[in-house]
Amino acid sequence: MTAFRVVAYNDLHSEDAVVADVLNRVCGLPLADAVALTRQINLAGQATVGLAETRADAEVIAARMIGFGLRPVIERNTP
Amino acid sequence: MSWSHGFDVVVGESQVLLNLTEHTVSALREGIGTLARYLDDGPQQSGGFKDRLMFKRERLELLDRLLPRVSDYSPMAQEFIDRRGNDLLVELLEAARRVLASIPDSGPVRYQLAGVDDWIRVLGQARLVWVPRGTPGDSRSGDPRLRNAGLFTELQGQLVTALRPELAAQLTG
Repeated sequence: MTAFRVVAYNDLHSEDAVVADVLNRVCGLPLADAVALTRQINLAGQATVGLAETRADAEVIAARMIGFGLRPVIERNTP
Repeated sequence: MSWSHGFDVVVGESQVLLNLTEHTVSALREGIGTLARYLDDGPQQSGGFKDRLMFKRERLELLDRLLPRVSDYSPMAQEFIDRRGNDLLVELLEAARRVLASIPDSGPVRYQLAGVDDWIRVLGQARLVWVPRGTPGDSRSGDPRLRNAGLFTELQGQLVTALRPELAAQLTG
């Protein structure tokens, strides 16, 4: 199990196309996953968009998201 | 009062054209200009002590909005800011300056397609000049802060949609 997860929150701020674009192109998720996660963020208010072995790797994902105006939170991936 | 905020995005082979109304240009210059001024680390502030104090307070508020807590655990959130915060702000300031420089006094904005992420990034963050995270903008609001934030959100969304129509199709499909 990976040690950290990056969760994206719906901050009522960015349009769906922007969220999906950032998840796909900037965070490197496949397009279908980016679209599905964007829908989940809308419906549930949040979605896990990244898993990382190290905190440094999780921070890289979070920093990319913040750079485009999204709101990520890094959490320990406890079972 | 009617507002003629508006824009039109055209994506070419190597550049993006943004046709913007006068009001949109004005809002962009004000919002991105304010963002750049607050991000600039050592601005010489005119005015008296009270003006400088106000600038400092507003600058700190904006920096808090630009760098949200990435963890509920305070030390982890602070360490992220310490490690990544400065680079994020420097990159944003440089992008904001390039975007501002690309807005002509008349005619459409022409921006290299390869660098259009500058616009997407800056629009996504300059709206925080007017509203905190969690406050959605509204381009039809009578409140100028909400209206400008909404304009930036819509322009950012339309830009991404024009760049990636297949993405928009999947989201609406």
